[in-house]
Amino acid sequence: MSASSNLATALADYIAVRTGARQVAVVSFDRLSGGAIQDNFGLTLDIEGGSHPGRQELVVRQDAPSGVRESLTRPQEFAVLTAAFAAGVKAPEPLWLCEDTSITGQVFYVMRRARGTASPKQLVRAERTDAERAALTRQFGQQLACLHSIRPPVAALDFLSMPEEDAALSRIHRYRDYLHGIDEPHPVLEWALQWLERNRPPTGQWVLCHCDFRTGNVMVEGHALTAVLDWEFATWSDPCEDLGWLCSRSWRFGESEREVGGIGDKKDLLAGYAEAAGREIDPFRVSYWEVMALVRWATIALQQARRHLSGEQRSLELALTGRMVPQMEWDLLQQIRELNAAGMPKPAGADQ
Amino acid sequence: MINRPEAADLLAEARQLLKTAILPELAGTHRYEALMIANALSIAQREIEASGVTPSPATSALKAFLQAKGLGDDAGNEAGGAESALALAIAEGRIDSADPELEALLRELTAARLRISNPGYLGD
Repeated sequence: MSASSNLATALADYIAVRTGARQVAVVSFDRLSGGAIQDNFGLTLDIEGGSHPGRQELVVRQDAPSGVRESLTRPQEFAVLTAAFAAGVKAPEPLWLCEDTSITGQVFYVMRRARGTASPKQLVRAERTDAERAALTRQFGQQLACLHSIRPPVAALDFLSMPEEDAALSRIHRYRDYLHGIDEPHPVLEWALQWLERNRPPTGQWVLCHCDFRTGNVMVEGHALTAVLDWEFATWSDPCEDLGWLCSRSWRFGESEREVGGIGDKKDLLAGYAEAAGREIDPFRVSYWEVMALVRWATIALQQARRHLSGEQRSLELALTGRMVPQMEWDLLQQIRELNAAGMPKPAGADQ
Repeated sequence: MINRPEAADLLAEARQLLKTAILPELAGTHRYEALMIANALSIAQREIEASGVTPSPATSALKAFLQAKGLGDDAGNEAGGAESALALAIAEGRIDSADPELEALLRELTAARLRISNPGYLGD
């Protein structure tokens, strides 16, 4: 038997036990693309009897050998997914968490497979009418508003740290500390952090943020969002952390005029958000967090380059990611200049 | 010692062959990997070609700026020292972040990097 059919069988047997099935047959098993840090597998089973009879299209998500410092463990991710799903977010339905590493060699969990595609190229290039584009963009807003209805404290999420200070300030300190710990000067990032510190909007509310909600992590079928993926960076933060990340220039995949992930316009995103949340979001606050998003992505790219440079994980992809930092620095110079010229920041009104 | 054809030339030819003879034959993951290889070859070639001019215009501008702002004494002779001095001065607030000359310098340093790592990014 091949290694992968061994894995498929081990998973099928595990699921048979969890569901109390009489019999489980593997219909298909494949490694899914995406996720340099986790291993994701597509698993389709025919289950007889037990709690989940019938054809089940599943995804198994487990640790790959290397990890990134910010990310949650699989059990923590499973808890976040459970909370989000329960709140009505289109997160993939989490089914079974397995902390027994004797089954596959790693901790893993099983979730329902979503339909559609998350491919940035396909999503950004898809033909859409203005109405379809606006509707999809509004859905992004609605989903984030739904997620942001989850407020601390939540007992099942007690592993998430509550920063003592303002979310923006805590991020600024984290990124500045990171920069001061590496052997490479980044005056543009230091300059951007000065701007972020001086131009902070008033402290907002703490909500559950996805922290990687962007084109590439949303499954879309036709013009409808089917699932939000990759919850490993979720934490408590300002709602505009998610909105700013989604609107960052870094995630427009060539469609630089479409502000929301290369797909739609900010006004539709914020309209969908306001409709679901029952409150408006100050667009300048989103712009602030777009600047934060560029600094954050630059520090992530620096971390990834260091994995290669240190020898921890020699990889051309990681090496090239390191060489992308000047793009983020260029975007920072452009965007801060534009915001200064527009008279940013406008003081946000009431707390968001 | 002269070694011809030189590094930049070898990289250019390697990339050309990869693009014309190999890439068209590939799909999926292998295609993605070959595109990464082509990109790495391009960056390496541009970096070698740029290293011919020393000190680079960006490095000269950086050192002139540090001198003008009275920060020149801390800068090392290599560009890395000067850039560290700049980063530290910004982080410690010894340079006014709103100074337009600082912004202009940062743009020049970044543009110089992009001309090596991704000149197309400057194009628009």
